[in-house]
Order: sequence, then C-alpha cells, then structure tokens
Amino acid sequence: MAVRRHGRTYQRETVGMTEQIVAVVILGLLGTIVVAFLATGFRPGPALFASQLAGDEAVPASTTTTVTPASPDATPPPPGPTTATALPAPPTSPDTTAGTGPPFPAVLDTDWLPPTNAATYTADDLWEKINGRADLYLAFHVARLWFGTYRRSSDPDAALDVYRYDMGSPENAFGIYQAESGGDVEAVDVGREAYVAGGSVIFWKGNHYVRVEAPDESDAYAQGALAVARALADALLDDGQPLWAESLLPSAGRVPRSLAYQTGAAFGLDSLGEVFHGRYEREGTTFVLFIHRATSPQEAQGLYEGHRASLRQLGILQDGSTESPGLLLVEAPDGRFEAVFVHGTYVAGVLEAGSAAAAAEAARWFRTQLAQ
Amino acid sequence: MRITTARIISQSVFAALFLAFITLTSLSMLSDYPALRFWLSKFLEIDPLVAVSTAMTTHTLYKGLLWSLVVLLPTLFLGRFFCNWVCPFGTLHHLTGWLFHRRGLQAKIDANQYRRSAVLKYYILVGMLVAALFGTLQIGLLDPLVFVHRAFTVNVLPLLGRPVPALELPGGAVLGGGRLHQFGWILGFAFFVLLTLNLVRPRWFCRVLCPLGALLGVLSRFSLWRIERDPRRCVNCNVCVQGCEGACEPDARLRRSECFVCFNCIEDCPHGALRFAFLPSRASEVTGPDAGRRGVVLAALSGLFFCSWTRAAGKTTRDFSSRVIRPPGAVEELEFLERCLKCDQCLRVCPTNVLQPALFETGLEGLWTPVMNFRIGFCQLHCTACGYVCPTGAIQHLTVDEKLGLGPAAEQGPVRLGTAHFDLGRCLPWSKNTPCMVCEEICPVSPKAIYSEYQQFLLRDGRKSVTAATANSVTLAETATGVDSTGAPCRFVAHQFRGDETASYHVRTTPGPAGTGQSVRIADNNVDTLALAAALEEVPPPGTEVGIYIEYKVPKMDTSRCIG
Amino acid sequence: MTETHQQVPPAETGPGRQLSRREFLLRGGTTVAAATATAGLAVWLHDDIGTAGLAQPRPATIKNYFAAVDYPESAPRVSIVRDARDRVDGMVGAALAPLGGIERFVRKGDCVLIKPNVGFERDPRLGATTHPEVVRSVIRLCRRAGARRVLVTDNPIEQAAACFARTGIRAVADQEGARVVLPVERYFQPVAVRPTPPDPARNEALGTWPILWAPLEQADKVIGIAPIKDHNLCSASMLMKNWYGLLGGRRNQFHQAIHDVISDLGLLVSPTLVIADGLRVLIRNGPTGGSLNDVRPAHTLVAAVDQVACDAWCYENLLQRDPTRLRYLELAHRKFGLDAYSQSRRFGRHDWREYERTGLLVEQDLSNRLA
Repeated sequence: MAVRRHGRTYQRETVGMTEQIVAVVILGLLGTIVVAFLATGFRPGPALFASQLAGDEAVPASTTTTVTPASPDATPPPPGPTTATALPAPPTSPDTTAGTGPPFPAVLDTDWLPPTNAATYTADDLWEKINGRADLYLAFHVARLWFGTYRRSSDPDAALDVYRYDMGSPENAFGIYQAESGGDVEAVDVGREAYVAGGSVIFWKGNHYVRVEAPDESDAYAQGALAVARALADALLDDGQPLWAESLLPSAGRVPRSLAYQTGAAFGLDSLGEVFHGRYEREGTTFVLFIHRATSPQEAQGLYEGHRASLRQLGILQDGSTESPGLLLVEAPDGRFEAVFVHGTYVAGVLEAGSAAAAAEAARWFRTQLAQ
Repeated sequence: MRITTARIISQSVFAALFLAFITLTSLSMLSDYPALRFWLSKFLEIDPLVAVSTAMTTHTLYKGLLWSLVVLLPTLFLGRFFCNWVCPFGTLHHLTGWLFHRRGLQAKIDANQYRRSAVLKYYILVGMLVAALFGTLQIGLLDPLVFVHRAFTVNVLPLLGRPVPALELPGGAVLGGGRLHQFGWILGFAFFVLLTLNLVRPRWFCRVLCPLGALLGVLSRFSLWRIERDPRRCVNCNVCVQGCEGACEPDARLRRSECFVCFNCIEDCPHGALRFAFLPSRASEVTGPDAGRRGVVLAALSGLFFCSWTRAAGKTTRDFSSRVIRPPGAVEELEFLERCLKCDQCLRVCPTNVLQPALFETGLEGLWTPVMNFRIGFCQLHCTACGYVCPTGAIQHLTVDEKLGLGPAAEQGPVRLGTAHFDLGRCLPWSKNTPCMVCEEICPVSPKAIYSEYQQFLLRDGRKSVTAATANSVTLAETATGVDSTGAPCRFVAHQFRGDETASYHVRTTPGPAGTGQSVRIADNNVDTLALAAALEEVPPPGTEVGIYIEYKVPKMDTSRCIG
Repeated sequence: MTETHQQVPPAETGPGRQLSRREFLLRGGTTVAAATATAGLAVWLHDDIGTAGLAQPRPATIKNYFAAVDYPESAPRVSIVRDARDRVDGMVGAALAPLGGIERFVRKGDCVLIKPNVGFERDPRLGATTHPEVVRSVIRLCRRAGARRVLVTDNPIEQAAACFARTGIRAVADQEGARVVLPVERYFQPVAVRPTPPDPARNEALGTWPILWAPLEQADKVIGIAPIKDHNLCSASMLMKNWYGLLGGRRNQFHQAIHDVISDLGLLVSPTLVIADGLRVLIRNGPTGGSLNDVRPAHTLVAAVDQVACDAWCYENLLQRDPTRLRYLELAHRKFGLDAYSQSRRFGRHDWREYERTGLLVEQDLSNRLA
C-alpha cells in the first residue's frame, strides 16, 4: 500500500480525479495571485510622495535670517589687520529684479493696491481661467499665468484685472502680443511694445506678456491702468536684445506693425513652425516675407528638401527653378504665388505675391538683403 | 497531483509572498512603485481577526480590511484551511517542527494527540474580543500574522546589517543597515521561544495560543466539507495521527475546530478510511471547541479587567507622557489604541528608523505601538509612508502636501508632530560658554523655527581688576587670559579663541551675570592689556573691576513654526 | 553476574590487562598531540603586552587629485559663465573651455568621482542642493573624455537614499550611466589629515578622522560641484564646505570650530576641478532653505582650479557679501595657499581680485548666444 514518490512515503497509491482537478485549480489560483502581484505591483504610477514647494506666493513675506546683533556696540570696528573680524553683514533684501520677484508690485504715487487674490495657472489648467482663449496661448507655449486684481483704496469697487503671462521667450511674448492686437491700436510707451484698447493696457517685455484690463475707457481707469502697467513693466527683466528676425527681415517697404511671429504650421508649410513674417509694399506690389531659423544649415537644407519633395508629390511644383536655382516657386490655392529658399541656417521666402514673376523678384531681393 | 503536494506548494508560495512583501516594504519602493501599496499589507488585510476586532472597536471596516472576506467566506465552507495553506506563521512553525521532527511512528503519534490545553486559545480570543468591545485593541499581541510581521520587522530583517553587513539593492535602497529597535530583544525572545516550543509539541502556538486559529475554529462549525472517517474500514491503527497538524483526533471523533485541513491523515491512512466529505454526519465529529462555560466567563471577565487596568493609570489622559510622539497622520490617542494592531509595519517602512516600538509609555495597551525616538532618527520631511502601509487606519493616509501644509493644504497648515525644546543645562551656548547653533542650521522649515539672539556671558575668571584705563584700552592686574600651546597669549580675537565668526568678546564696566553699565567689544589684547573696538564713555578708574564677556548667538524656539 | 551482563575475558579489563604497543602509541600519541596543539595555540595567541588584539587603525591618506593634471601656471584659474536662459550644457562647456576643456582634467580610462551637495532631501528648485542638470553635464563630459567609470557620492545629514532620489541626482546618474555610491558604514575609514593631533590654537580641527574612503580610493580624479548657499553658522556654504559631506563619525562636534574645520576640509581634499553651481543661490534661511522665497536665480556657473578663490568670488558676487570678513577663506589661504605652486601643486588664493588683475579670471556671458 505504501508508495515512495519524491522521497516521501505515501500510503495511497492512486489519486482520484477530483483531487487532481482540485489541486490543479488551486495551483492555478496561486499562480494567478503571484502573476497579479508581479504584474501590477511594479507599475510606476502617480507619485505618492510628490509635493508642492513652499514659497512662490504672490507677495512673499519679507523674512530675515541672521538676526541683527543685540549688542549695544554702536559703531562697527575700524578696519585693520589686527581688528577682530566683525559679525557677518546680514543679507540685503532679496534681489527682485531677476524676474522672480513679486509678480504684482506696488504702484507708487497712486492709490491702487496690489492684489490679495493672486492666483497662478500653468499650461495644464489655464483653460479654467480663460476658457477658449487658452488655445492661442498654448500655441505660443505659455508657461504660467499670474492673475490678480488691483483695487483702489479710495474706491473698492474699482478693479483692474491683470493677466501676467510668462511666455518663456521674447519671441513667444511678441508672437501672442501681435496675435491679440488687431488692426489699429493706439501705441503707448510701456515695456517693449504696448498699446491701449478699450481702456486696457497691453504690453510685452522680455518673456512676459501682460494685459491690464479696465472695465471701461473712463479717465480714472486710463491713468490707473497705465500706472499699473508701468509698475509691472519695471519689475520685469528684459535683456534689451532685439528679436532675431528684426534685423533679418528688411525694413525697407515693411508695413508698420506688420511684423508678426507664428509658432504653429505656417501657411500650410507644415514643417515650419516658429516663423517671423512681415507685410511689404514695394514697387507697387504687396507681398509677405517670412523667415524661419533652423538649428543648423543642414537642418535648413533638410527642411527645404523635404518641402520640395512634398510639393513634387502633390504635383504642385513648377519648374521655374531654372531661373533662380535653389528657389521653390508654387501657386497657392488662392491664385497667389509663393517662393521658398534656403540661406545659411534660415529657411525664408515670399508669400501672397501677385504673380510668379513678382514672387521670384521679391525672393531675389530678399536674398540679397539677407546676404548683407 | 496530490492534494498534500498542492498544499505544500501553497504554503511555500504564501511564505515567499510574505517575505517579498515585507522585504519590499520600504519608502524607496513605495516611491518608485506606488501600486505596491495595494500589496504590502495584504496579509494583514486578509486576516479575519483583524477585521472582526477593529469592527468591534471602531464599528467600521477600514478600507482594505474588506479583503478578509476572502478568508472568512471559504472558511465557512471548508473549515480552518487557512492555518495550513496560507498562514506564514503557521508555515514557519510547521517548518520548524518538521526540521526537528521526532523519529519513529509512536513518538509522532504521541506528539499529535489532542490535549486539553488547546482550549486556551478560545479563552484568549474571548478575552481579547471583550477587550475590543470596550475600546482597546489587543489582538495584535498574539494574532499570528501581526506577530510575524512584527517579529520580522524588529528582529529577523535587522539581522541584515548586524552582524551581517548591509546590502545595497539596485535602485538605491539599502537592505538592513543595522536598524535599531528599542527593547527589541523582548520581542525577539518571545518569537524565539514560540519557535522552539515546536520542539516540545509541533504547532504548539497554532494549537494552544493562536486567537485567529480560535476564531477560524469557531467558524468551522459551519463548514460543509470535512475529513470523515469510515469506521468500517478503520482498524484503529492511529497512523493518521502521526501527521495530523491540528491534533484534531482523526482517529476518533474529529474535532472540527482544531482540524487544519492539511490532508496528511488521508495520505497516511493505509486502509483508505479517511476522505474529505461533503456534509458528513454530525455523530462522527465534535463540532465546537472544548471550552467550558465557566472558562469563557472567566476569559470575558479578564478582558474586562484588562480594560480597567490599562486605563486606570491615566497614561492616555491626564498623565500623558511627553515621550509619546505618534507618527504623522496618526489619529487621536484613544482612537489610535482602538485601531493600532502593533503590526509595526510603520516601523518597517520608516526610512529614518525614528519609529520605535513603545513599552508602556501609554499604559499597558500601548505595548509595541509606534512612537518616535528622536535620538535614533527624525521624521523625514517628504515622507508619509507610514500612513500608506497601516492596514487599519490608525495612521491615516496623508499626502506630503497635507503633512507639510503646502499647496491645497496651506490653509490648515502643517501637521505638528510635537515641539522641540531646549534642555538649557546641556545646551552649549546657554550653559557652557561655547557657540554652537547646529540646531538652527538643521531646522528645515523656512523661515526657521529656531532662531538666534545675541547674549553675553561672563567668562570664567572673567572678573578682572583694572590698573589703568583709557577710552580705548584697559590694562588689567592679572593676565587677560592664558597662553596657548605655542606659548603666545590667547587673544580675544574671536576666531583665535575657538569661538566662531559670530562670537566676540566684550568688556563691561559693571561685571555681573546680567550686568549693566557699558559694554564695548574687545578688538585685540596682549597678555594684560585690552584694545577696545570703540571708545568707553566712562573710563573705569584703577582698582575697579571689569568683566570680560563672550557674546554669541543663543538659540530660541518659535513654537508657532516648529513642526516637530 | 547475570546473563544480561556482557561477559568480558579477564585479560581485557582490570589492572593486569594486556596493553598492546599499538594501542599505547595510538591513544597516548593522540592525547599528547592534543596537549601539544592546545599549548602551542595558547602560546601563539599570547599577548604579553596586552594591546596586540586592540584595533590599531592604520589611517590612509588622500592623494592630491590635482597633481596628476598638467596645469600651466599661466592658464586661467577661475572661469565664470552667465546665461540668463540657464542652458546648462552650454554653460558647463563654456566654463571649462578657458581652463583647457575637460580633456585637460580627465584622461581616458580615469575613474572620476563627482561630489555634489546632496545634503538634504529637497527639491532642486529650493537651492539647497546641487542642481542635477549640472551634474548631468559634467558626467557627460567625463564620459566623452574617456572616463571608464564615473562615481557620484555624498554623506548627507538626512537619509541618503531619499536625498539622492528627491534631489534628482540619482535619476541623472542612472540616466547617464554613473554609479551612485551610498555612504554605507564599511566605506568609511580613518584618514590622516595631518600627522599630529589637531591644535586648536593654530586653527586645526582635523587630525585623523573617518572619511568616506572607498570612492576616494577608487577615484583618479575628483570633481566637486557645490551650490552657493547662505549658512546660519559660517555665513556661506560653498565649495570648501562641500567636502563636509565626506566626513563620517560624529562630525557634529566640528560646528564649534566651523571655520577651522572648513579650511581643514580645503586642506584635506585637493580636487581636480571644482564647479560652483550658482544657478539658484540660497540667499537666506540656509543651509536648509525650504521656500522658493529664499532662492535668487543668479544664472551663473563657475569652474575653477582654485577652490578658495572660487569661494571668495562667489561670496562677493553671488551672495553679495564681503569676503575679507569670511574667516575660513583667510585660514585656508594660510594653510595651503601660501606654498609656492611648484611645491604643493595646488592653488589657494583668497584674494580673487589678484586673479582678475593678472588675467587668470575669465568671465563670459552666453545669454545672447543662439544655441
């Protein structure tokens, strides 16, 4: 009756079918548990111990570290080699000109008070604050929005809403500035460029784009909005360097205030983002010149080749390239003409020209301008 | 595949899972794999005794404790299979007993006879449940899963590190590293004793002490399947008893409440008289435990008295010890004692080893509950891991933001574990004329809770009499101070007298502990003349006394900012 | 006698029993051998004096990691780079260029130890620890120069694994193939900073002290990367203070002579290269910080072969304080900066303006560069 199997003595010779099935089912259950543990337990997930950072408040509380000495010693020691080294000087107040100071500074010589309701939004939750308009800001790579309301001590109902966007770079700030300013606007001198519309003051400086919004055009608000805008501009850092395209796009013949910046697919040239363009009137024709800066001449050439290939595939490409080598000449769906060429690290060209000849001529002119 | 083979595999798998879970219980694992949170305390969550007793104390079933149904419901159908198929402590006892097993059939049969002592666990269960009814959770002292978690945390796993050197795991965790647990030897001793009792009788703990086994045994009365002996085939050879884990008398009327469903008897019976039957007759079994009514009443009374003993000292109310600092996220003390299993998982996960098993600081009932010992560690700022492994909610889940009062929790502020105090008798600046300020350096909040103020302290031998003085210098009768090892006079220039940059020396015209009069800083000195940094308004006449003071920063505490 | 007793022939037992020579030799010999062995072992272990069994630490000495660098005396010693856009990779490369590039410091096959400040379990934006991107750049450069292994280590005050994780240094090291060395107990060994016990009257703090020795021993080159921080006790924690993270034992006691110990740390380690991380400067509530309000972005990196001059420059230009009042700079200069370069093979000048005057200090501003 005894059976030795696997080194153990069993009394039963045979094992019933039910028992075998049950054993296998149990093993299957065990295996499932182990596999479930291995599979689900080691998945990375939302961090359990992530946290926000302290600080970064709207108006940081002024704090001191090294305490001023309680010593009644009034005068500091005279300098000299035998002098005992004195107490280290306590640090001066924090440097707020680095662009990370209080986002809503006090406005001197007015009775407008900085916001107590300051809130900040990032790209992820910008939609909550400005709803549909967020798409445009996101297209220009907005990093952060600071929102706050300045109020008057003399009139608590009077309010100026301030939207202070950190766009991450001067190009983006300029881009959104141009995109939101429509048509004729009254320029003012705040920040890098500014205008007044409907009582509100809008400007850009450095990486920032700021809107100081007034409810109406009355004088009371006009002065206040301007003062607040100036105070905000003073607190912003700007290295003063011109935008890279300003010197590259020719100034002769450019329609004032037509310089603009675009981040997304420019004019159907899908591979080109981050493009500056301006409108020109020259010798009776109008056209648009655009320029894109690649990271290297090789990349620029690559973009150009890729564009040519896709045009050829679409059957659009005209072989006017024999006239001016290295120039892509096409007819746009609206009947106007476009030309694209490469110059060093730049991909540039002409849009909205009246005729193929005009496009080619404008491109040639642009090219010579760039070469200087 | 024999059912006993399946059982052995099951025991091994669950033992391996237990080892894996408890080894992986660490902050770095939870940081990298948050999904492990579901698994790490799983053994405690499936423990029905934990669920039942916390339901009695808190009238709720905390989060993951619903998993106890996975064990409870099958027990109602199949009997006390948990003890020999799942329980890792049971596996440990089984393994120990088998390693030191008796040779010879008769010896084994004698070892596995039913003894009346098995009834003790039912009394223990009753006592503990009655205590739970009256608000104190003590099942953790003897519950096998809780016990084994605690024993591994406090005694077994710290073996790695002392004397075995620590292991550095890929991913950065350090296994072992010599974790310290105050009074851990008591627990280790108990663990060791329980294991060695397997040499006296196999599965001694499981048969005699285990309250979870008692609970499952009581519930076994409802089971539909059970081992059944066929008296026509049985020849009373008693071979079935030699492998019986539960000492449940399969050779006579089977004791349901003791049977571990190990199936060894079925394997061993030479005549095939035993089988696992559906709804066997009541006549061939002993349905319930052997506990007498008087014994149960005595046990209940013991549980009741325990409640009174433990609360009588007032350690949880008026005489609350200042040493009892609970982990961040811990609920209020009386509720804590209703929930804390003393499983010590929080100790296991704590990265800095600050959590320690208490002795009786909060009374009898607080034994082995977690308290913080700031000499051993400190509560790491961005860590709330203890709350994530606590199976019963004694320590609630906190996000780091809630713990530190950041972001959305900024209004309610940070969790304050306690407040630091200075022992001025030990503090170097306050009582030993030595600048220090390391406490301020370490303080992690901004602005710091510890700040400093300048104060002056009279030096030892600091009173000197003046022989001559001008507005800018004072000449003393004795040497201003000693000489250094090169023979040059020690100078009161701060950095040369082993003070730090922030210390300076002053002379006061009216010496005394909190002297009045003028105080002027000493710029330099030679053996007996002090050169002053500023002018004295009133020049002390010869023969008067002046005092030489050291001025430096002393620490002060802003209790509104200290988060412990 | 009953039947149950074993009957033994009389000759086998009792006083007159027959003793065979074989048995005599075998049993007697075994016993004598055991006695001899016991006595021999006892004599061999004997310690007459009494101190032979006591632990005699044989302190190691740290080598000069700069000595292997062939550094011309006329080459710049402090190289400062600013970039308002914090493009770290470019900054590090530009900072090293005037010093000769990484190739001058790291040779093919070197084992490089990078010692950042990972002292606290803090987010890098809080300025209390070295910024991980700087560490990343340096690791990459070392690899490009042919280093066979890059180690990253520190002995933090807080729990080591958590510090490396939260500061982002571990992630960077894992991504770039460098190995993080955690300060496990057995890596510490006593190291002799000076042969005699320290004399406080001469501002000496370290004699022989346990140091995080294992990575130092393996390394051919050591690069220190430290943030610039306010410090409540010694006024600033910069490059020399960074070596505090190599100390083991009960190092808390050095705080009572903090300037002595910091200058001694500069003496202890003669690094191949130091880099000051001035991207985010902790201007108050140091050294732990804890709030973004304490941090001022300064967008600066400094690479130097003279850690004293680098500290002095950073103290004056990044923390805006007066370095002539910072005691440990003067002490460091006295301890190892006065020797002629050819003797001690290291630089230690606390008057950085001297370098400026002699053209050994270079500044660059990359803010307007395109890439």
